[in-house]
Amino acid sequence: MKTGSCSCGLSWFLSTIWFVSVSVSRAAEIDPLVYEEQLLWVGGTQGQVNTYRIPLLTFTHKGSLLAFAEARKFSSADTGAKFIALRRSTDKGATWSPTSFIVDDGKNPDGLNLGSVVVDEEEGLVIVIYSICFHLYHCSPASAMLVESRDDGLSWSLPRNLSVQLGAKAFMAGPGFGIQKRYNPAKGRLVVCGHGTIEGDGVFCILSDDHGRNWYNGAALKSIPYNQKKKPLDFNPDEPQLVEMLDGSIIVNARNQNNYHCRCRVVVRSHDGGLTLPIDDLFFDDTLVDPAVAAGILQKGGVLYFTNPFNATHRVNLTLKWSLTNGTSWEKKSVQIWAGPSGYSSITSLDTGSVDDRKYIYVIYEKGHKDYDETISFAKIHLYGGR
Amino acid sequence: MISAAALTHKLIHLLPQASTLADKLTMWTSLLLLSHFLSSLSGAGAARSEDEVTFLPGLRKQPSFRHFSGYLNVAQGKHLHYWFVESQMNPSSDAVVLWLNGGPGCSSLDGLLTEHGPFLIQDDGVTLEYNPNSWNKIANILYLESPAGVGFSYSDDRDYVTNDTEVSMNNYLALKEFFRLFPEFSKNQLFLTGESYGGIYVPTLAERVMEDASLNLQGVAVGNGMSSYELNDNSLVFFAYYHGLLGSGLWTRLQTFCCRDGSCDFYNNQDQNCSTSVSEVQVIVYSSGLNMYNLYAPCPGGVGERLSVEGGQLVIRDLGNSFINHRWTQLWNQKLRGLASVHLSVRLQPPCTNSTPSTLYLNNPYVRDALHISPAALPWTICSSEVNLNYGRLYMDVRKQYEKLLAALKYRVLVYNGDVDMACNFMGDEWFVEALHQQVTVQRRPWFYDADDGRQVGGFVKEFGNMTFLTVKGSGHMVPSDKPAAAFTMFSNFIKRLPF
Repeated sequence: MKTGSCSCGLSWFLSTIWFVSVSVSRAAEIDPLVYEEQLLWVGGTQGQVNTYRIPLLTFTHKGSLLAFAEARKFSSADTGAKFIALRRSTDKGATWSPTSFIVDDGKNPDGLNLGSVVVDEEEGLVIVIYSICFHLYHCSPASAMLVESRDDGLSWSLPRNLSVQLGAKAFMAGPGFGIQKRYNPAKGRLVVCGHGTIEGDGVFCILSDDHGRNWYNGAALKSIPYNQKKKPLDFNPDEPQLVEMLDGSIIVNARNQNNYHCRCRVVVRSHDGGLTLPIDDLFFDDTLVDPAVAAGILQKGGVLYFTNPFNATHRVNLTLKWSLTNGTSWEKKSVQIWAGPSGYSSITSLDTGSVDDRKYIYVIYEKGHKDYDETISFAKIHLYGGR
Repeated sequence: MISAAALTHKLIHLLPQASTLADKLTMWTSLLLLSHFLSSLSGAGAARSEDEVTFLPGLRKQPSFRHFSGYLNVAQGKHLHYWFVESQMNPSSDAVVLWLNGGPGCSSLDGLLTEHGPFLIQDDGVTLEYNPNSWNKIANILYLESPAGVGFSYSDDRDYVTNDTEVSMNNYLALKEFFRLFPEFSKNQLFLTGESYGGIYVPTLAERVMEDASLNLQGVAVGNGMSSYELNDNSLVFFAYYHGLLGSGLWTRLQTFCCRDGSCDFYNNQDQNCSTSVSEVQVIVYSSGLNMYNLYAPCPGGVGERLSVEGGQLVIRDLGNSFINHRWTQLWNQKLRGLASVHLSVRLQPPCTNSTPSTLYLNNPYVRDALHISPAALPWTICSSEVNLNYGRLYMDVRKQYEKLLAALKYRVLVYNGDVDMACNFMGDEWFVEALHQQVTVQRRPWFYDADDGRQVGGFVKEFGNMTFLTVKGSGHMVPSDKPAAAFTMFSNFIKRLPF
């Protein structure tokens, strides 16, 4: 017994040494460099659209990159009529297709809002979940909607209303990406997280175990006070981004809307594939200072990457940070992607296993000179200093 | 603001009602002062205030917006008739839009009275009804009858032989003259728009306007425009075949004699068998009784001849824009000119077009009077045979003009086409736009408009930076006549720079 326990302890010790040494060697290697950057959308240009906002970015199972944004037709407001704009790159972000408008809500005074993109690699599906009438402005009720592509983003289905399956609760997916679980528990499940209305806010996840045909409500991390008008400093987790860790748990990194406890990110972990987000596993990450915004997070090869406008009060200074310790600490070094106004961001990468794809992550973000909503920019980031 | 002339007129009518001499004197004094004050306000003076239309016959109620009709005097004693309708929204800040119908030799008043004007002529040739989809709901529209010899426009020397270059110059001078008369509009955004042969007029005029910094040009829009004779002819044959107009035998001959390695030349093919086959296409499209301006519309007045003598008048139903390089066409045109020279009276009538109501209305002496038409002007006809038959076509395409406009990086260009027109079919203009090789910014997609029965597909749109190609589904040549609500949505989005 003793020996046994001793050897157990020893193996734990050895594996820790191994883990640390791997981490250390990685720490020496990771040296992100903004390798290429281009503007995918400029407000007032493509299609005479007033403002492009809420960028999403995803890989596809075929190795393409798809960028989405709300194309706000007549003004920069969250309400109003919009298209969902899409551009597609089949050469790892070097060139992009012209914009396609894949959904057009007409002149709807409270039209569509993005949204979450989730790739089902098992079935070769790209699914976009968005909401309509989210602000209940001249309309009711709010609905979560789904469109999907079976041909790598070239063509898209008609929108499908998910209220039948989810109930009529206001649910705004993302903004960012959803995941398909690669590890157990619930391998293969689609997990899309989002938030509710400001009164009924919180982080909510919807789940599908049959490749997006049926969806049901999963985890709910409710705001306090729930369904009541909020005051400054109330507990109000909002726009989340989730990632699956190598151990199969899900980390949700959310906007701390009312600056409860800190001007920083709320982090919470699910161990059951998005069914619950227990409060026991919630913490505030003081390192990730945040002005209350939708941020980007990605797990690639055991390293967590995080982008946000790194500033406690203003949406400026879009910064990339990384963690070699599953988000328990962040490297001191960081990379500034854009010093000026910058807002929502999202990260993706291609995980084909090729050497080339190990080198890059891709960031999409709102970027401007005077205001952060002037353009949507795509940055290709070399993780190893261009080497 | 009411015009000085109109106000003076009103006060004069009030005078007899003033009871005492003192009243009358006071009124005369104020009248003089007021009219003096008002005419000093109106800037460019007498000419334009005389042009204000104060009472237009045919309307149940006079309009709430101001409109003016008169002449813009340009070089060499040419007097171009204009009808300017102010915006129903906010004239002082809304765009000024020039509208030119085509021909060559046809009147822009056809655009006003039957397409997108504020009031449309009714079948009785007497009544005008307000148009809920009028383009002046959001913009000031200037309808210009050009060149001299068209409609009410005339020349002192009665010489109506002209060509593309002279026309674009005189249109430019007319525009300058307009802004001299209406200086308060010179800062407004300016758009040049037109239809059909306006496809030549508009870009060639824009080429001059863009070099004049005093004109605030923002963009051009061309509907079912002639952009390239070659592409128009080549596409038409495909259009006709795939719309079920040509039999498989003829199609096989066309393919055999006119095409090589997948590319067809129906426009300038030297092969005799090809020309013969293309002539058959022409007979089907132009002479079989189809309405070439809208394949799916009936031919108003029934099937007519391309050339006929009616009541001693030679009536030509051919504007001479298609297959101009064909020997057969050239012989035909020679014949037309010959016949025209021996006939005392020649009328050019676009085929399957009922211009009787407009003609009746505009030749009514009360209407002519209300519109301040000069006694020197000829009776109004929809198109001038004299202008058309003697017209010098100098541009075989307007590619260079579009390239120049686009290269300036600041003008917006809309090329729109009703997709069942055969005069200037959508495919020819789509090919023309594609051949400019501009970067695609938004891929081809349906566009929508709100109709009485809900949201409808208006057509398709493809965007190339500052240039847009747009189709209007189910519409013929005169888009605002055929699809008024869709056309207004399209126009409004273009002018206001909103997404389609």
